[in-house]
Amino acid sequence: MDTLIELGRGPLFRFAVALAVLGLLRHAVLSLWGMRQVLRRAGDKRFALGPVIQRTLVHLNPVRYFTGNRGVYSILSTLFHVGLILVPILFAGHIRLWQRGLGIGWPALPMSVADALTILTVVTGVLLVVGRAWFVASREMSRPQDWLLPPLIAFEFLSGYLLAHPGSNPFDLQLVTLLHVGVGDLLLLVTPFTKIAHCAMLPFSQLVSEMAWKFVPGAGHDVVKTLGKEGQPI
Amino acid sequence: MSSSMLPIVENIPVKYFIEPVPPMDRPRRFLEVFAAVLKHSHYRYVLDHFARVAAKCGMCAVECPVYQTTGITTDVPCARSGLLLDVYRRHFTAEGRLMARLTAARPLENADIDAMTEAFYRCTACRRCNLQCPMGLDHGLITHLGRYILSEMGIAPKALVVSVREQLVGKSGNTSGIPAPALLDTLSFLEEDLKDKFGLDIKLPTDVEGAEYVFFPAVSDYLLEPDVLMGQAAVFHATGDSWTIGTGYFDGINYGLFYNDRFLEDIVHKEVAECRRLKGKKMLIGECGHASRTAKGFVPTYGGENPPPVINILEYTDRAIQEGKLKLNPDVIEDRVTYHDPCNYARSGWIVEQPRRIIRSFIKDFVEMEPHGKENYCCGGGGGTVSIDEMRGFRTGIGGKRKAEQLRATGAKYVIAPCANCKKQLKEVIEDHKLEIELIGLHDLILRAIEF
Repeated sequence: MDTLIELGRGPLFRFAVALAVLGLLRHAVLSLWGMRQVLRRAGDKRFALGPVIQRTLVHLNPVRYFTGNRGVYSILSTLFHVGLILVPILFAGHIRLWQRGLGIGWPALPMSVADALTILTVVTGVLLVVGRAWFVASREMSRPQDWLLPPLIAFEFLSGYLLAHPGSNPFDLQLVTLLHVGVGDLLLLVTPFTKIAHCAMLPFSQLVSEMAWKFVPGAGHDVVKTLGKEGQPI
Repeated sequence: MSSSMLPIVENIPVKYFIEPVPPMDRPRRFLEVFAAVLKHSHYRYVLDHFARVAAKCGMCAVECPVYQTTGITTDVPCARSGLLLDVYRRHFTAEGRLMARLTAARPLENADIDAMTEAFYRCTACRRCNLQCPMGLDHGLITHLGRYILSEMGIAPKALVVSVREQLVGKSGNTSGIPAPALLDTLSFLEEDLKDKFGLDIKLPTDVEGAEYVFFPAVSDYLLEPDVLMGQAAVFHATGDSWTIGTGYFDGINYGLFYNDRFLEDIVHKEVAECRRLKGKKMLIGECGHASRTAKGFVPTYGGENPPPVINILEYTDRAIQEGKLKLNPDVIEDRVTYHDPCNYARSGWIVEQPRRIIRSFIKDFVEMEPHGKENYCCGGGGGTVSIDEMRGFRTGIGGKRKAEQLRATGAKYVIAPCANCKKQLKEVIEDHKLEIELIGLHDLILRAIEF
C-alpha cells in the first residue's frame, strides 16, 4: 500500500497536475485563439472588450443568483466552490505537497478555517447531489458525471479531514490516505475532460457568446455548395 | 427575479406543416448538413465551449415560460440544447468518437431528429434563459443552429418558408405579397386619413433620393397597422427630418433569423441594396423586434463596405421628445397602460428605457408588468412561431400563458406592443385567455396625442 501511496503522491500526482494544467491551458488558449479566428472571418469585425468584461463580471458574481428562483441551490453551489477552490491551494498539508512537487510554497490558511471550509464543502457537496435528485428537471437531465463528481469531491474533502485529524479517523490510516490520494489524482485527471473544465473556461463564456453571433458572410451559400444543393429552389 | 411555477397545464404537442421532403436517410443527411455548417461557420467554436461547460444545473428551467407552464423536462433550455450538443460531442469531437467506440454508444436515429424537430420550435428563442445560466450558455443560439440544420434538410415550417420564398424570389418581393402599386395606394389612403385628422399634408414619402432615413417597417403593418404607420409619419412631420419608403424593397421582416443563415443574409442584402439605391443615410426600422435586431446585428455583418447605420423608430421618437421636437398631449390618454418589451429589443438591454421615456411623457397611468425590461417574458410567439397558425394552441396555451397572467395582473386597459409579431401573438393571447385588455402599438397612441 505504501508503494501505491507513493505512486499516487509522486509520479501519478505530477502527471495528473500536468495533464490538468495543460488541458485547462489548452481550453483557455483555444477560447482566445477561436476569438481571433472568428474576428478574422466575420463580416462584422467590431469588438468592444469593455462590455464583454462587464458582462463576464456580472455573470461570475454568484451573489446575483441568490435572490433568483433557485436561490438556495445557488448559495449551496457558491459555498461548495469557495471550499473547493481555497482548501486544495491554501491548506498547509497541501502546500507542503506543492512545495515537494513544484519547489514553491505560500502562506497557509489557519487550521480552523481550513477545517470549517472542508466541512462546508463536504456538506454542500452532498446537499447539491440531494438538490439535483430533488429538482425533477435537473434529475432527468443529469449525466453520469453530474452525479459522480460532487460525491467524489465531497469524499476527497472528507478523507482529507480525517487525515488532518487522525484522532477522529475510525478507519485504517493508510487506506484513507490511499483513497484520498487516488481520488485526488482521479479528479485532476478528469478535469480537462469533464465539466470541471469550467474552472478555466467560464471566464470566456460571455466572450464566446459575443463571438457566436458574428457570422461569416457567404457561409450559408458555401454550405449549400458543399451539400450540392446549388440552384435548388427555396 | 421572482417567478414561481404556474400550475402545470396539459402538454400541447408542437406540430407544423412542412413542404414535401424527398426520401432520404435522415440521420445521415443531418450529419452531412451539420458537418457542412461547421465547416463554413464559427459554430464549432461555440459548440466546443458550450458542450464542455454545460452543467445541467437546471437554473435555466425556472426562467423559461414554456417549462414553467408544462413542467416537462424536454422543455428545459439546457435539455433542449443538449439534443444538439450531444450530437456534436458524439460525432464531431475526438473525445466523443472515442467514447462512442468504447461504450458502443448508439448513433443518431430518426427519433432524435423528430425530437429536435419539435423541441427547437417549442422554444421561442426569447433568450430569457441566458440571463440566469451560470455557465453563460446562449440557448437561443443553439435553437437557431438546430433550426438551421433542419431547414437545410427540408424540415422547416411551411409558413416561414413560403414567406421567405415570396420575399426573395417572389413577384412582390415581400412577405405579405404586397405589390408596389398597392403600397402606393395604401400610402395615399393614409395621407388622406392624416389630412382628415389634422388638416395637414402629412406625407408618407416614397423613393426620395438622399433622404436621412430609409424606412423598413414590418411589411404587414401596411395591411394591419395603419395607425402605427400614420403615427410614425406624424412624428416625422413634427421633426421635419427627411425620410422615405423605397418602392423597390419595403419589408423589414427577416425570417432568416428564425431558421436559416443563408436567407438571413440574402434578406439583409435586399434592405441594404434599397438603402443604397436611394442614397439614404440611415436605415430606420419600424415597430418590429426581430426586424430591428436583424438589421442592427446583421447589416454590419452582411452590409459590405460602410454599411448604413441602423436605428429603430422608438429610438428616433424618444430622441425627438428629448430634443423638444415632438409635443404629446398628456390629457388624451386617461386609461391605465402597460408596456410589453419585445425580446429582440430588450433582452440585450438595447431598447428598454426609450419607450418608457416616451410613454411617461404623455401617459399618466403607466404600470409595469413584473418582471419587465431585460427580464421580460416573451409574448409566446417569438422565434417566428407566431406566423405558424397551426401552432396557435401551443403558442397561446403554453408559450403565452405566463404573459397572459402578467397582463391580467396589471389591470391595464391597453398593452403597448411595439412589434408586429408580438402584436399578432398578444391579440390571440388576449382572445384565447379572454382578457379585458386592448392591444395597441406605441405610435398608435402617439397619433392620438400628437400636437402640431
